Amino acid sequence: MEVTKLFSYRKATVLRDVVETPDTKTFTLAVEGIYSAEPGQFNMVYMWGLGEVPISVSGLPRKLGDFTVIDHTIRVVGAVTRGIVKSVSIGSVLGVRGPYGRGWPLRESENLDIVVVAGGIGLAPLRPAIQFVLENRDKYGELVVLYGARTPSLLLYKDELKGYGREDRLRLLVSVDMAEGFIPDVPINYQGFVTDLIQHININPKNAAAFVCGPEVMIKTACRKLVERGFSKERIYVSLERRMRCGIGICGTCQLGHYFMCRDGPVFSIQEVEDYLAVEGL
Amino acid sequence: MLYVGSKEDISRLFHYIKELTPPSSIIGYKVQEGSVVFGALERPEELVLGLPPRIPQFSPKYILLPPEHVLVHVNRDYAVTTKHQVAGSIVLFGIKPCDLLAMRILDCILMARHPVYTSTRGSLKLIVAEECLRPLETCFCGDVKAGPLIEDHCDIAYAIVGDTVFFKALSGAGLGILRDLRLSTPGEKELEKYMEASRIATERASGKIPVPLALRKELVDKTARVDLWRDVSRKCLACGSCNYVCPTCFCIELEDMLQGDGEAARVAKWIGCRTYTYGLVAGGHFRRELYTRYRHFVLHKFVFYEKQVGRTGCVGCGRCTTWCPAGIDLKESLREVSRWK
Repeated sequence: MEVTKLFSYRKATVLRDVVETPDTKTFTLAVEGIYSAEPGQFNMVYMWGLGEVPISVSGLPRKLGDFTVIDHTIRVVGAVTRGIVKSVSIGSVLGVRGPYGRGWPLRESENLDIVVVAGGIGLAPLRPAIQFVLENRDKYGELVVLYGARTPSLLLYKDELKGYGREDRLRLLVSVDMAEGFIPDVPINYQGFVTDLIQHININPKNAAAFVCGPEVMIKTACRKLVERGFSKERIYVSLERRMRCGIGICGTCQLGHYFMCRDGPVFSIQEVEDYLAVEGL
Repeated sequence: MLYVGSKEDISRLFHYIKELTPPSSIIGYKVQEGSVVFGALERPEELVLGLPPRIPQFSPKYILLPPEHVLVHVNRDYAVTTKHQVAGSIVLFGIKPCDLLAMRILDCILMARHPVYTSTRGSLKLIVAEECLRPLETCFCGDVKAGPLIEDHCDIAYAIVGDTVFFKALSGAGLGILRDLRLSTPGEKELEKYMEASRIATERASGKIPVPLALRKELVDKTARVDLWRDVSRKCLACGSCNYVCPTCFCIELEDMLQGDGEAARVAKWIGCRTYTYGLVAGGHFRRELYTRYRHFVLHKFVFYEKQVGRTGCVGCGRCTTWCPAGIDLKESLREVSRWK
């Protein structure tokens, strides 16, 4: 029956697993045939017998022979993510279904400067957006990436961050809350919250779009500061997180106000969700 | 088309449907071990005519979206199979106006998306519903335009006024059946009797909650009033009974359950927004405090459903109130919201 297809999986074989931080890995997965996902969309990633988790696609899908290769950056937070991070390795097979949801409005943001504000693992859903802008460089203005983590060792994609320094019209500013522990070979510009960097953005906010993802308190602060900096609310986009179980709007558990996060989001303009986010526990 | 008959004609209607080919299972409210349940009916004598003293905790949701059901089976190779048995064809007999509307609301959310709901809903061949001419004290279907009368969205509606039973044909199939039963058309006096009973019923099922449009504005304006929500939720035990008996609550949790045959079943289970774990994720909790979950229940029904399915998500059946072990009356909560300054 047709509806069952909504709960069918594509086999995803792990080609590579990169340890990003002590509790986070990026898995490069190969699925047979064509698979496309917009930056900002997510998959339900299924570890057989254990359960499913909603994980954003953290790299632009790319073709590899008869396969499509996708990235998922997964941090240990609960039973399923623990199972995946601790026991899945090269050659393991996972199930994926998706992609689901609405991603970053890259088409609507053409010809604009793009400001990315990411906190911690919040960089994962933004990475394909950054890649997309870099692959379509002539369609976008300046790219500013503000990225913060609690400590240097918790920064994701450290090798790539180093490479950003060599990109044309890309300005990367990295912050850490505490400059302790392992210091990677990534230039760290600031000690404090990543949202403090917003005042240092050197672009015209009237001609820019901002993409924000991170812990919800950080998202709220970032949006407030972006508005203060002159960004319009219609062009500040956030990727939110709720309890998602199905990915297709039937389990009801990801509701935020009248939105089903999985179907209507996870990316929203702040204008769409500010009233809801202003209320604690809505 | 309105026809008139007796309770005997309800039995004839039941037998007529039972003998239709291909055969259908007839499902409705019936008494089992002293309580009213929702299940297969073999004989018309099993039918619960009129509303029982308390609105049953069950509703069509119980068969369309059962408390626990398997969505798909997955083998180790991630191949998916469905094993849920398609029930053959189903006839619902004697469901109430609130049930009819609740099904349409669930349709908007689940149809063509939820495998079990879609398949069971698709096997519904005929619906015979009963108008509630004697609404209960807990009923407020009139306020949310769910009942107590039935104008459409089923095949046949019947209404009991004393010893007289009125039958309405509301679809082509329904009309065909009622014609075959050779019922008579009501005379002026009978018609008057029915109209009068309808008027009284509508009156009885209305005026119990603030007018929905005004209520929606109050709810939106007072969403952030923590003191209000703490107050209306003070008696709540977070047990989730209201969610489970609500004919429009559809939230489910999905879990893996390993089967003996080496497959994993993706199992869906009802989860209530009033319960402690609603909003709980591995990394935190989006609705840690009880008042936020209580508020979600109320706002979802009276504010958010409007944007999701185009109408209020409450059908005024009063099940949440009837079956609340703490005696919380949703109507009173809504009135309190209106009164709160």
